[in-house]
Amino acid sequence: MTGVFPFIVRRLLAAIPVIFLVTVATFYLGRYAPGDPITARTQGKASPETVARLKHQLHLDDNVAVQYVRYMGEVLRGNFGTSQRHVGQSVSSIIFPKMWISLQENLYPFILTFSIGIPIGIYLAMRRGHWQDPTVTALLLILSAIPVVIIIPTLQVVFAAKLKLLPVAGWHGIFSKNVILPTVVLTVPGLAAIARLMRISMLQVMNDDYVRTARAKGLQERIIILRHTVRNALLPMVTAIVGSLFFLFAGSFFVEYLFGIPGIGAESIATINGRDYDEIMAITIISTVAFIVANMAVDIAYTFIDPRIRLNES
Amino acid sequence: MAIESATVLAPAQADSTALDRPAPPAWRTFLRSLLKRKLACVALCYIVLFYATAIFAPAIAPYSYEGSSRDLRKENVLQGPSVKHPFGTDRLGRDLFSRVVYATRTTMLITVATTITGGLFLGVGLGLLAGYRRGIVDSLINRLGEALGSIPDLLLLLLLAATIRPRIDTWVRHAYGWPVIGGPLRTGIADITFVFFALTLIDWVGQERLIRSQVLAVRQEEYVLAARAMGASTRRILWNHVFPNIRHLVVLGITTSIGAIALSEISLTFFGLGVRAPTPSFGDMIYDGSGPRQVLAHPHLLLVPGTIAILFFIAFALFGDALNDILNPRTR
Repeated sequence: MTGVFPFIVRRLLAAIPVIFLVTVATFYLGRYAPGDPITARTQGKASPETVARLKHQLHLDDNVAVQYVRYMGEVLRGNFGTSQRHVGQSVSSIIFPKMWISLQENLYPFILTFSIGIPIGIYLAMRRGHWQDPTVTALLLILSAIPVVIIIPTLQVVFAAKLKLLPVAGWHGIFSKNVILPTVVLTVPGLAAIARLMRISMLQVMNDDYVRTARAKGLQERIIILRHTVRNALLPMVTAIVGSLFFLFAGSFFVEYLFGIPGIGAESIATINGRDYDEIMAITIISTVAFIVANMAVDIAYTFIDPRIRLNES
Repeated sequence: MAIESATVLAPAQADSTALDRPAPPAWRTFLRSLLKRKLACVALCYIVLFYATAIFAPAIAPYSYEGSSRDLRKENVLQGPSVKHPFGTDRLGRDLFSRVVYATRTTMLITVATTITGGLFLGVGLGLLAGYRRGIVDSLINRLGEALGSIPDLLLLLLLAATIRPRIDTWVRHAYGWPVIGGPLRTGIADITFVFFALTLIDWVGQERLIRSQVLAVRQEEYVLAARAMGASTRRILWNHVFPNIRHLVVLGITTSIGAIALSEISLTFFGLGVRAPTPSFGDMIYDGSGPRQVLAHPHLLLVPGTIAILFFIAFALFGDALNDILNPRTR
């Protein structure tokens, strides 16, 4: 029987070709684009000789494959290179503080999505067959289908410009009023998925023998739901929570861009536009690894929750 | 057991006797269940209306989407809704109604082309291949899918748009003067083609995974083994025995992915990296109308394209949900 540790090793080995593919593709894409960080930085004001000298200093004139191997060697030693847009700063010193901001921005939505979505899911399961179930489900679906790019300007106008209740944009930490609108925009669309996951989980558990036994014993419906159903139905939610933990630091492009939050999502856009090679690579590598590790963690979480599931199946 | 099921070889019927995997409903049952869901019917009507507008755009739009120099006159710019311009005009004096009508066409071209290539051709094809052949082919397809799936979609799209796009632009501008293809190129068909390729690259992954897992289950069924034992060709097995059991998933996968495709196009265009002016797109119009000061002074610039786009996404969400209920009854 396979344990957790060999499973992790096997999954990480299987992830190597994936990471290789992603990094090679990103690396070549960055170099394939016209323009380079030096030209972008000097804005054409430097002489060709200076540009060539700077490029040589940064080894940007080497063969792309050589550059790739050198860069990945540095990454394995924990060095993501130097930023070209913020002269003299390492990529790590730029992107990690940005990720910290994105993490703070995602904190309330993370807590609220689950703490509102789960009770709605329980309610939907209990009202199955009544009008409330399809109505609330449809409402949540409608809310989740509205693209943030349209709803953000609308909210900004209504709550900031018209009613003057909240600031339009900006970032002043998680205890300022600025955080309210982004939190709403990041929370509401996610409710549908969580509520429906909880609902299905509840319905599955409600068919189980021990719930029928509890009912046959003549227990109160409230106790059956709370003690026997909800507790077991919550187990699949744990995997959803574990999975989303890894994406807490991932910024939302639109929310950060439109609300002026200096997180990693807004930084990604600026980085790509500025051809900041090392930073693009760092963001891509971190996202990819986080995605792979998150999937692995979800699989492991499943086995802890339901010992009937084994890790040896890929 | 084996002898028993070998006598009922017709795949769909044989499958319906299996209790663990509910069979996809027949066409008539499907229609009846759909008609019972009023909200889904309304959603479907909106979708049909949207695509019909796209197809008949030149007949519906009263003005050109490009506008003319006369539009730029002060009295024509940024007009509110009127009889002449039911949705008003934008900051270049262009009729917003005509722009919206032609924007549905951009959405249609991109969603239809991406769905056929990514969701149907690549997604179903590679899913069948990976699930049925397994082994090295399966591994290769899986690794490629994982690599594409592990980068956040929008990051990958932005990266592609920022890197490959400028090269394509240079070639396209070279070809402007060429006979035959020069004309269409100038109308922005290259932009739409680029967005279509970029979205196709992402779109097939989810569909392939869904199909593959189902094929892996179906290929173990006794009627598939029986067909193989009788010497049926791979193509015959896939088409006659496997495909009928995944048909409903194909429909479902496509319906749910169309919203995502349209949203990606709008997002890319919003960042100026998708379809570019003068080709109208909801992303471009929403960007134009979205500054808070702009919305206060001229709300119709955001509200008109915004509402039509929001309704499109809601319609697909509700219709997809109803389809899921009907075709995938386990989750009901």
